[in-house]
Amino acid sequence: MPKGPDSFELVFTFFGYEDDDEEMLALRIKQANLVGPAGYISMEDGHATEIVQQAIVRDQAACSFIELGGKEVANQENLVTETALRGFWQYYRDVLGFN
Amino acid sequence: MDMHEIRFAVEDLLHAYAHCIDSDTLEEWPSFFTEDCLYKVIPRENTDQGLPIAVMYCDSQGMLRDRVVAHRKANLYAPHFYRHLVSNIRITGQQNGVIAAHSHYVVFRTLADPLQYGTTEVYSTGEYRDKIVVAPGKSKFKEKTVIVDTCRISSLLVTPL
Repeated sequence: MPKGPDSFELVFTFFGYEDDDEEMLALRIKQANLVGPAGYISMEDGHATEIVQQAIVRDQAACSFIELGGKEVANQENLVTETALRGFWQYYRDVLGFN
Repeated sequence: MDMHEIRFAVEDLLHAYAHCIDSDTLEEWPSFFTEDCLYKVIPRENTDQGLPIAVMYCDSQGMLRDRVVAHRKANLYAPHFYRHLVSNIRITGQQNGVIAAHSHYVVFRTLADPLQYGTTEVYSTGEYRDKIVVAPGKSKFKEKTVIVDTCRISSLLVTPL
């Protein structure tokens, strides 16, 4: 959520279902460790976005482009790649006739 | 143990706990808890509404150790150190040898990166609600609930509160 030109906020909202039993509820509570500001997978999300924010504020007229995994959509050797996202957008473009 | 000894043990535990984290001897942090324990950092926003999701949730010493390993080996964060102030310590109950204690905490966070080195902010404040097994020698937390007033957590939370 942008809070103005110089700041943003990340809000994490977790949902459960009314028919969750005790075990399911306990599982959701435990798995929340993965996400949120102390999340095992998402902890750095806030900080990474902060760094990007600082760079944008400082270098407003500049632009930056990092091509992860080239221009193609193909099997990659590791997960440091945008190939999946590129594949999604290419297909989206085709399906919506944006060619 | 009489009430004075109990009170002393509780205060000593709270202060030793704060010192352990502040002096970056995180490897000792799990030893402040019983094997079967509960450590929970939960925003006041949630406890006020009876909502259960916590920011950190560890229900065993193993999960506490996971947090330490992640801190040391996996997580990426701006270098910092904490300074806890713990006060307003009250013993609120006793049941089956387990002492209930409430206290207030403030954690100041000081940044340690080259550009901002030595800049201190009020990082987090709130309440500790603890259940403590008191023993002469080493008392331990059976449960420690950190109710965080500062639910707008600045950047991230990696070092336990």
